[in-house]
Amino acid sequence: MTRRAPRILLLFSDDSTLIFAARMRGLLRNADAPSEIVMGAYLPETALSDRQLRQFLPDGRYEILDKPALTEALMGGHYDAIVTSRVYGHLDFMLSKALNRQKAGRARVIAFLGGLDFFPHRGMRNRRNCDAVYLFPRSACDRFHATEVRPATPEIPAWPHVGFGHPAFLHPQKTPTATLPEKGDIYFFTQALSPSTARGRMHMLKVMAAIARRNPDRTVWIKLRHLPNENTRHLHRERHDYPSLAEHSPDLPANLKLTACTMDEAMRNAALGITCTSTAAIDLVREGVATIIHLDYLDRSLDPLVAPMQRLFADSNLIRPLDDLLHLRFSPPDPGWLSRMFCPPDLGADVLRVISMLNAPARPAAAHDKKSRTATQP
Amino acid sequence: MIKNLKKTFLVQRIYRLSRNSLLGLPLRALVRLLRHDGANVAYWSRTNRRHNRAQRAVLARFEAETGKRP
Repeated sequence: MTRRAPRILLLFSDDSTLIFAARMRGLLRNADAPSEIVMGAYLPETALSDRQLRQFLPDGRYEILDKPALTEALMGGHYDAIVTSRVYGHLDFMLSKALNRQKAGRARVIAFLGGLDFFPHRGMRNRRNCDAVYLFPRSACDRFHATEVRPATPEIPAWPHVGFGHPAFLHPQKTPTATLPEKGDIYFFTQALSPSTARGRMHMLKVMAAIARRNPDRTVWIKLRHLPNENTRHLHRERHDYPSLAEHSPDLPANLKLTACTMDEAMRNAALGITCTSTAAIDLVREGVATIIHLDYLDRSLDPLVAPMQRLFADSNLIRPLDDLLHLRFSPPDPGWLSRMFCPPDLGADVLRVISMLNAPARPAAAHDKKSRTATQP
Repeated sequence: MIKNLKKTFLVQRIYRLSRNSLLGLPLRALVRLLRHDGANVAYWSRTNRRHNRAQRAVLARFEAETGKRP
């Protein structure tokens, strides 16, 4: 008898969750085992523009789910698994009820972290009712095991299942050389929160302009996460956007440009990536692009993300002071740090394996008890 | 959390006041002032100013080497 391919729903609602879902879809498709994948937009928390949808889902093939539809997706038996990087309130509420959790045919919920989380306690807590939770770095898995996993009883195995990894944290297949490639441009990957002040951001703009002047044969791109009129309902809103700041800087060199291209497009063309934030740094390292993390921007003491960022990347070899940044001096990432942070590239196959394990029919407790007794009797 | 905060009685009263033709203007100005980067004490701290000065000096030195125009 052949088993049918698992039907998997990938949930999204904003740009972060959509990027996760798109990456996860790619990994599941690339896994050897077949699967049927459906993209699902969760309507109550949607914060996406036409451009973002068209960029990541050009064929427009996705389901739109309101609360009743999400309930139906979870309980109705249409899906084998729901894979998400955000455990929406309604989903968590449904999973918090034992009646729902134990119902046969329910879709298994596999939750990933939204991204690199400097303060993961809340994220771990929100995921404790899911069937499987994927975390990183490795230390987070140990912490989750110790604090949130319910131990096994004679009737119920330990849950949730804990996995290691994230689609944005696949071990890089190549590591960058210590010298700048001859071809390619320089990209500064911006983010909504860091630097947090207007003068901190203006300073970064001036730094990029200075680098552009020193390297007239390359273009220095300021890669925007989104356009100023987008993401107005996003969790992290940008108070001082770079396009507005650039408008107030009349003497910018011609080879300093702004772009809202996709991360993949930027990676393909990047000889060097510069960033102040973790997500872009991780993307760059994963793609094997030379990376400089700069945390010495103006007003860094006002930015609560600097200290955890420094802790997380302390052993990475990637944090560089301003003088190194201006002269484009960088080093490849530390291999030990890489293996603690990045998971093996077969994450899609691992997720399918876990879905299959979670959907395996449970053995009746009585039979299980009898078998155990028989095994232990002399 | 922010969504819940916005629903509270106090915040809704403040919002309604900000739309008032008489009190709205000074209230909106006050909110703008409080949201300014300088409303954070650390913005004016000696450590922060020293750090900023040092970073600006590094950039200025580099710009002087390169020249302001490409």
